[in-house]
Amino acid sequence: MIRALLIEDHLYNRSLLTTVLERKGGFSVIACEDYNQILTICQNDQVDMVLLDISLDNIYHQGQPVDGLEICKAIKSNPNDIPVILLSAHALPKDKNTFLKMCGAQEYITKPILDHDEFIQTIREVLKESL
Amino acid sequence: MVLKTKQTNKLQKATLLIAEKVLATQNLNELFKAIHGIVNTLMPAKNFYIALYDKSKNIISFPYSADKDESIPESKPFGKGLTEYVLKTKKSLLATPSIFRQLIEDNVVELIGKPSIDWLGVPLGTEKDIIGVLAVQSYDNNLRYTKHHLKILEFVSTQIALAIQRKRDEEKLRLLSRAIQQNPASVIITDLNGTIEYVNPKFSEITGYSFQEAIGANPRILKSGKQPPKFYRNLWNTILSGKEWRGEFENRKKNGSLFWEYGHIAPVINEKGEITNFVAVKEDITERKKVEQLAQKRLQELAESRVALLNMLDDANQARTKAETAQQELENANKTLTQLNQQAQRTMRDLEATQHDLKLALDAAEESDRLKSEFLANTSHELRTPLNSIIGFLQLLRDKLYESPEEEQEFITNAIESSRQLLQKINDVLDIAKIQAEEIKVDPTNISVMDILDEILLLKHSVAREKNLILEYHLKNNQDFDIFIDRQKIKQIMQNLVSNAIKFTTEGRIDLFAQAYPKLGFGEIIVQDTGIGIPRGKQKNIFNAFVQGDGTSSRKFGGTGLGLSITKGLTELMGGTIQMESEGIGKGTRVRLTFPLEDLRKTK
Repeated sequence: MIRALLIEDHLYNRSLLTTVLERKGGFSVIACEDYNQILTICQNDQVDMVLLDISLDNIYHQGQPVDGLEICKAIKSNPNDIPVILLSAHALPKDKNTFLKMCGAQEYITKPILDHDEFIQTIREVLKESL
Repeated sequence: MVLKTKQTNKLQKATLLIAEKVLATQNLNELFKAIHGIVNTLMPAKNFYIALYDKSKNIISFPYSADKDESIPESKPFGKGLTEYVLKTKKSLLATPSIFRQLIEDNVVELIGKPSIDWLGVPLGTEKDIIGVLAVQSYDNNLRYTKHHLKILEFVSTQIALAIQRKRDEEKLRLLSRAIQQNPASVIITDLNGTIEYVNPKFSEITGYSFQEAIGANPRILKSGKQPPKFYRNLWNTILSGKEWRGEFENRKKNGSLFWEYGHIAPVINEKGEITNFVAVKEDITERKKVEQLAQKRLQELAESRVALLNMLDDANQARTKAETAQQELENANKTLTQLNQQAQRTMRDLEATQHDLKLALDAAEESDRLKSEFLANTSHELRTPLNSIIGFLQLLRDKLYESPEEEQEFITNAIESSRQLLQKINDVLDIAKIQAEEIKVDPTNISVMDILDEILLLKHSVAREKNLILEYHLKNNQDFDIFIDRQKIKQIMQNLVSNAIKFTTEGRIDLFAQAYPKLGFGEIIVQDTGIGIPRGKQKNIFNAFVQGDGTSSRKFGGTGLGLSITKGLTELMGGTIQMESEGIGKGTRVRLTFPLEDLRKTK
């Protein structure tokens, strides 16, 4: 079973994505909103991939708010880096390339997600490529 | 001869009795038991079983057995036992020890279970359709079966097969009847003219018409007039031509209220191919319709707000065009100046000053352009976030990915709540846009601070009390004073700040302090709470609508949404100022507002 770490601060979107990943994809999902815990989960190989929102309101590191790009960079600075998929409502044409380049994530999915099957397919392809 | 007649009478009575038992028993098992009893009156049948053959699965089941010496399984695959041999040959068999040995030597049967002395089995059913085998056996030399016993069993076997077949049909019919009676969808059966012959309890539950009221009526009692006559013509044409019709109705209940249904209506066709009835199976989809209509409305509002934002972008473009024209004029002026250069030292200095001003104007225009693009991008972001969960939950509902009716309700509630969030964001964005375009009118008058604070306390004290928070105001030296301000706007500002304070405070108090500084010309109102406070890293941006200090980062939004920036905009529109202070997380928050004491325009 694919194990996914979900970092999403919007209550309804978190509940929605957990349901879609579990029921459509058959994944097991951990949702987490604590900076240190996120990094521990990734270092200990507790998950196969990370789904990461960019604009986050409630995650802090050393008293400063951090966004998804900074979390992604921290995950990627580990030797055993795992695939990260950014999930964001930033939808300008240039946003995808800018953000992927800034943090080294594997894929960028724009909200709103219009087709759940396609969404799951994209995640599976990213996992296949990073094997 | 007398004996023979007696025997025949006895057998005929037994067959009549078997036929009666079809009606007198509740289920197949009781019927089997009764048959066993009847056979027992005709011949010794202590060890007795009935085997049924399921052709499609090639399985033999033993629904009834009474055998003290052997345990018989519930079912098994078709093998090489004596039962299967009878099924295959379609002939009854008396297997005495010598016949049994011969059958084993010929390799047509195998020994299964405990060997009996005599085994006697007859096929049940007709030559064409054998449904099973009835068998008796003996394990005891005192009981030997003969051709006589075989004849008895053959005589009653046809009636037994018929009885079993009838009972099975009856059980199947009862199951079908229950399935309709207890169906979660409403079911209506009509005759060819549309007169109702049957409705199930779900129909009565949904429509309010009882079974008695519905029978003999026409389904048009549900008509609401919302569908045109053409709709019904099409429906009738479809089902009268023998085809199934599907679609949605908006119908009327007995109590007059409207509701939505999704229905399948199909003709019922008998063995001769004639239509005898129509059956409708309908599902109440009122809730789903409501959610669809709400989503439709929200999308329309979204489209309208988009138009408003595009207009703002137009304004920005016009500002840039003006700046470009101004630059063109500057270049022209430059040319003229070069010609006059030698005789115009002083003019030169003036020109440099003008050039500097124009540079600032151009920078300002570019900055305004950039801010507006960013505003647009961030508005798009803010609206997409709740839209994602609206679309997502509607898809989950469409794909029926819920696991219980409660979860279905939860998905609907989540979609509605997200729609509310979306509407709130749209309203906030429009407010911000209006403030930035200076389209909001203010109508300031002299207003007593005590009046304002009394009103806010009246509005908010019950919410504060619910959280066990103390909410009070304190006038310096108990001295009321007037500020020059718009009444509605100051109420909106104060309500927003006090609501925030209550929201972010779990225990303690919220204090409002007011004081006038007549010499400086302004009055001060402070909102202070003992809540969670604001992390130092966030204080700088707390009032910003979307826009970040350097504009290059990922544009994190203020945690309180747009409310605080609307508050700041309104405050500044009325000549006031606003500041927020906190010692950090857990240390409480203090918001300081100032407003002019009198009309500044008059004193100017």
